[in-house]
Amino acid sequence: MFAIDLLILGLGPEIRPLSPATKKHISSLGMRVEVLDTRNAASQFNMLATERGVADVAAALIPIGWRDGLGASA
Amino acid sequence: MASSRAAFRQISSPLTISGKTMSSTPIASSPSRLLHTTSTAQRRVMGHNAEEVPSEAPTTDFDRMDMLGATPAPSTSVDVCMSEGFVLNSGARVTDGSGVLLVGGEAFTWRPWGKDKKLVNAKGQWEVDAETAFALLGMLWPRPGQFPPFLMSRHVVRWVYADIGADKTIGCLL
Repeated sequence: MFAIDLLILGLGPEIRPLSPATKKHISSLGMRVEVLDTRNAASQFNMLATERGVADVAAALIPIGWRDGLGASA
Repeated sequence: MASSRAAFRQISSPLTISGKTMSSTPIASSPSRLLHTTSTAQRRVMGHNAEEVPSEAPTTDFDRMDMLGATPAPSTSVDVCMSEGFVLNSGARVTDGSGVLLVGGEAFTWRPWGKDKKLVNAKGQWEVDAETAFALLGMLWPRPGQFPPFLMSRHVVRWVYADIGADKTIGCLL
Protein backbone atom coordinates (compact mmCIF):
# COMPACT_ATOMS: atom_id res chain seq x y z
CA MET A 1 0.00 0.00 0.00
CA PHE A 2 1.33 3.41 -0.88
CA ALA A 3 1.32 6.24 1.58
CA ILE A 4 2.49 9.05 -0.62
CA ASP A 5 2.29 12.30 1.25
CA LEU A 6 4.52 14.51 -0.87
CA LEU A 7 4.23 15.50 -4.51
CA ILE A 8 7.24 17.18 -6.04
CA LEU A 9 6.14 19.33 -8.92
CA GLY A 10 8.71 20.39 -11.52
CA LEU A 11 7.22 23.23 -13.55
CA GLY A 12 9.77 23.25 -16.35
CA PRO A 13 12.56 25.81 -16.83
CA GLU A 14 11.41 28.13 -14.08
CA ILE A 15 9.49 28.14 -10.84
CA ARG A 16 6.09 29.82 -10.51
CA PRO A 17 3.42 30.04 -7.85
CA LEU A 18 0.61 27.55 -8.12
CA SER A 19 -2.89 28.81 -8.76
CA PRO A 20 -5.08 28.47 -5.67
CA ALA A 21 -7.36 25.99 -7.45
CA THR A 22 -4.47 23.70 -8.38
CA LYS A 23 -3.01 23.90 -4.91
CA LYS A 24 -6.39 23.20 -3.35
CA HIS A 25 -6.94 20.13 -5.48
CA ILE A 26 -3.57 18.63 -4.61
CA SER A 27 -4.23 19.28 -0.93
CA SER A 28 -7.57 17.53 -1.26
CA LEU A 29 -5.66 14.42 -2.33
CA GLY A 30 -3.98 14.41 1.07
CA MET A 31 -0.57 15.43 -0.25
CA ARG A 32 1.78 18.25 0.43
CA VAL A 33 3.25 19.79 -2.67
CA GLU A 34 6.74 21.11 -3.24
CA VAL A 35 7.04 23.37 -6.26
CA LEU A 36 10.40 23.67 -8.00
CA ASP A 37 11.84 24.07 -11.45
CA THR A 38 12.25 20.69 -13.13
CA ARG A 39 16.02 20.32 -12.64
CA ASN A 40 15.80 20.86 -8.92
CA ALA A 41 12.60 18.84 -8.68
CA ALA A 42 14.27 15.85 -10.32
CA SER A 43 17.23 16.14 -7.99
CA GLN A 44 14.97 16.42 -4.98
CA PHE A 45 12.88 13.45 -6.08
CA ASN A 46 15.96 11.31 -6.64
CA MET A 47 17.26 12.08 -3.20
CA LEU A 48 13.97 11.55 -1.38
CA ALA A 49 13.03 8.44 -3.34
CA THR A 50 16.40 6.90 -2.53
CA GLU A 51 16.26 7.89 1.10
CA ARG A 52 12.59 7.27 1.87
CA GLY A 53 11.50 4.93 -0.90
CA VAL A 54 9.20 5.46 -3.86
CA ALA A 55 6.13 4.64 -1.78
CA ASP A 56 6.43 7.92 0.08
CA VAL A 57 7.03 10.49 -2.60
CA ALA A 58 5.75 11.18 -6.11
CA ALA A 59 6.95 13.55 -8.80
CA ALA A 60 5.26 15.26 -11.70
CA LEU A 61 7.72 16.86 -14.06
CA ILE A 62 7.35 19.13 -17.09
CA PRO A 63 10.32 19.08 -19.53
CA ILE A 64 12.86 21.85 -19.05
CA GLY A 65 12.37 23.01 -22.65
CA TRP A 66 8.74 23.88 -22.01
CA ARG A 67 7.56 27.18 -23.49
CA ASP A 68 4.09 28.28 -22.62
CA GLY A 69 1.85 28.21 -25.66
CA LEU A 70 4.44 26.29 -27.68
CA GLY A 71 5.14 23.17 -25.65
CA ALA A 72 8.41 21.32 -25.26
CA SER A 73 8.72 19.50 -28.55
CA ALA A 74 11.90 20.21 -30.45
CA MET B 1 70.96 17.74 48.37
CA ALA B 2 73.25 15.84 50.67
CA SER B 3 72.41 18.13 53.55
CA SER B 4 68.69 17.66 53.09
CA ARG B 5 69.08 13.88 53.10
CA ALA B 6 71.06 14.10 56.31
CA ALA B 7 68.38 16.24 57.89
CA PHE B 8 65.71 13.77 56.84
CA ARG B 9 67.55 10.82 58.37
CA GLN B 10 67.95 12.69 61.51
CA ILE B 11 64.22 13.30 61.84
CA SER B 12 63.16 9.80 60.89
CA SER B 13 65.26 7.97 63.30
CA PRO B 14 64.57 4.25 63.81
CA LEU B 15 61.53 3.58 65.98
CA THR B 16 61.75 1.36 68.99
CA ILE B 17 58.59 -0.51 69.93
CA SER B 18 58.60 -3.16 72.66
CA GLY B 19 62.36 -3.31 72.64
CA LYS B 20 62.49 -4.02 68.92
CA THR B 21 63.94 -1.62 66.56
CA MET B 22 61.72 -0.93 63.58
CA SER B 23 63.63 -0.03 60.59
CA SER B 24 61.83 2.43 58.40
CA THR B 25 62.81 3.48 54.98
CA PRO B 26 62.29 7.13 54.38
CA ILE B 27 60.04 7.81 51.44
CA ALA B 28 62.24 10.47 50.04
CA SER B 29 65.18 8.16 49.95
CA SER B 30 63.37 5.45 48.00
CA PRO B 31 65.18 4.65 44.78
CA SER B 32 61.94 4.49 42.80
CA ARG B 33 59.60 7.38 42.22
CA LEU B 34 55.94 7.02 43.10
CA LEU B 35 54.51 7.36 39.64
CA HIS B 36 51.71 5.44 38.04
CA THR B 37 53.66 2.77 36.26
CA THR B 38 50.77 0.93 34.65
CA SER B 39 51.44 0.95 30.94
CA THR B 40 48.97 2.69 28.69
CA ALA B 41 48.45 -0.56 26.81
CA GLN B 42 46.84 -1.99 29.95
CA ARG B 43 44.61 1.02 30.49
CA ARG B 44 42.77 0.90 27.17
CA VAL B 45 39.32 2.43 27.31
CA MET B 46 36.74 0.06 25.97
CA GLY B 47 33.53 1.19 24.38
CA HIS B 48 30.10 -0.29 24.99
CA ASN B 49 30.54 -2.53 21.97
CA ALA B 50 33.79 -3.98 23.33
CA GLU B 51 35.84 -2.00 20.85
CA GLU B 52 38.77 0.04 22.01
CA VAL B 53 38.12 3.75 22.15
CA PRO B 54 41.01 5.46 20.39
CA SER B 55 42.88 8.09 22.33
CA GLU B 56 43.09 10.36 19.31
CA ALA B 57 40.30 11.85 17.33
CA PRO B 58 39.56 9.64 14.31
CA THR B 59 40.28 10.96 10.89
CA THR B 60 37.21 11.85 8.86
CA ASP B 61 36.30 9.21 6.35
CA PHE B 62 33.96 10.93 3.92
CA ASP B 63 33.11 7.65 2.21
CA ARG B 64 31.63 6.34 5.45
CA MET B 65 29.61 9.54 5.84
CA ASP B 66 27.81 8.87 2.55
CA MET B 67 25.09 6.78 4.11
CA LEU B 68 23.19 6.38 0.86
CA GLY B 69 26.27 5.47 -1.15
CA ALA B 70 25.45 1.77 -1.24
CA THR B 71 21.72 2.29 -1.65
CA PRO B 72 20.60 1.61 -5.21
CA ALA B 73 18.70 4.43 -6.83
CA PRO B 74 15.10 3.55 -7.65
CA SER B 75 14.40 2.71 -11.27
CA THR B 76 12.14 5.71 -11.56
CA SER B 77 14.80 8.18 -10.51
CA VAL B 78 15.62 10.76 -13.14
CA ASP B 79 19.02 10.40 -14.79
CA VAL B 80 18.76 13.13 -17.42
CA CYS B 81 16.50 16.16 -17.89
CA MET B 82 16.29 17.14 -21.55
CA SER B 83 14.52 19.98 -23.32
CA GLU B 84 11.91 17.67 -24.72
CA GLY B 85 11.87 14.86 -22.21
CA PHE B 86 13.66 12.69 -19.68
CA VAL B 87 15.83 9.62 -19.29
CA LEU B 88 15.06 7.54 -16.25
CA ASN B 89 17.32 5.23 -14.29
CA SER B 90 15.51 2.23 -15.75
CA GLY B 91 16.59 3.31 -19.23
CA ALA B 92 13.12 4.50 -20.17
CA ARG B 93 13.18 7.60 -22.35
CA VAL B 94 10.63 10.29 -23.08
CA THR B 95 11.57 12.49 -26.01
CA ASP B 96 8.29 13.66 -27.45
CA GLY B 97 7.87 16.71 -25.24
CA SER B 98 5.77 14.93 -22.66
CA GLY B 99 6.29 15.27 -18.95
CA VAL B 100 6.59 12.33 -16.58
CA LEU B 101 4.61 11.29 -13.57
CA LEU B 102 6.67 9.15 -11.19
CA VAL B 103 4.57 7.44 -8.60
CA GLY B 104 4.80 4.24 -6.60
CA GLY B 105 7.83 2.94 -8.47
CA GLU B 106 6.16 3.32 -11.84
CA ALA B 107 6.57 5.99 -14.46
CA PHE B 108 4.02 7.46 -16.82
CA THR B 109 4.15 10.03 -19.55
CA TRP B 110 2.19 13.07 -18.47
CA ARG B 111 0.58 15.76 -20.58
CA PRO B 112 -1.38 18.00 -18.24
CA TRP B 113 -1.84 20.76 -20.80
CA GLY B 114 -4.70 21.32 -23.21
CA LYS B 115 -4.70 22.00 -26.94
CA ASP B 116 -3.47 25.56 -26.41
CA LYS B 117 -0.39 24.25 -24.56
CA LYS B 118 -0.75 26.84 -21.84
CA LEU B 119 0.17 26.15 -18.22
CA VAL B 120 0.32 29.74 -16.96
CA ASN B 121 -2.80 31.75 -16.24
CA ALA B 122 -3.33 35.50 -16.64
CA LYS B 123 -1.89 36.13 -13.17
CA GLY B 124 1.33 34.34 -13.96
CA GLN B 125 0.38 31.35 -11.84
CA TRP B 126 0.90 27.73 -12.87
CA GLU B 127 -2.54 26.32 -13.46
CA VAL B 128 -3.83 23.07 -14.90
CA ASP B 129 -7.15 21.33 -14.88
CA ALA B 130 -6.18 19.57 -11.70
CA GLU B 131 -9.07 17.11 -11.77
CA THR B 132 -7.71 15.54 -14.93
CA ALA B 133 -4.01 16.36 -14.63
CA PHE B 134 -3.77 14.57 -11.29
CA ALA B 135 -6.49 12.04 -11.98
CA LEU B 136 -4.07 9.15 -11.51
CA LEU B 137 -3.10 10.36 -8.05
CA GLY B 138 -6.78 10.75 -7.24
CA MET B 139 -7.40 7.15 -8.20
CA LEU B 140 -4.64 5.91 -5.96
CA TRP B 141 -5.34 8.12 -2.99
CA PRO B 142 -8.98 9.10 -3.07
CA ARG B 143 -10.41 11.75 -0.82
CA PRO B 144 -11.71 10.68 2.58
CA GLY B 145 -15.11 9.07 2.33
CA GLN B 146 -14.53 7.60 -1.09
CA PHE B 147 -13.60 4.05 -1.89
CA PRO B 148 -10.40 2.81 -0.26
CA PRO B 149 -7.09 3.13 -2.02
CA PHE B 150 -5.78 0.20 -4.00
CA LEU B 151 -2.58 -0.69 -5.68
CA MET B 152 -1.99 0.58 -9.16
CA SER B 153 -2.41 -1.82 -12.02
CA ARG B 154 -2.21 -1.47 -15.76
CA HIS B 155 -5.99 -1.82 -15.89
CA VAL B 156 -6.38 1.19 -13.66
CA VAL B 157 -4.01 3.16 -15.84
CA ARG B 158 -6.04 2.33 -18.94
CA TRP B 159 -9.17 3.30 -17.08
CA VAL B 160 -7.75 6.67 -16.16
CA TYR B 161 -6.38 7.09 -19.64
CA ALA B 162 -9.80 6.52 -21.16
CA ASP B 163 -11.43 8.78 -18.62
CA ILE B 164 -9.34 11.90 -19.05
CA GLY B 165 -9.42 12.15 -22.81
CA ALA B 166 -6.94 12.44 -25.60
CA ASP B 167 -5.60 15.92 -24.98
CA LYS B 168 -4.53 15.30 -21.40
CA THR B 169 -3.11 11.85 -21.48
CA ILE B 170 -1.28 9.67 -19.05
CA GLY B 171 0.46 6.80 -20.75
CA CYS B 172 2.20 3.93 -19.05
CA LEU B 173 5.93 4.20 -19.60
CA LEU B 174 7.28 1.12 -17.87
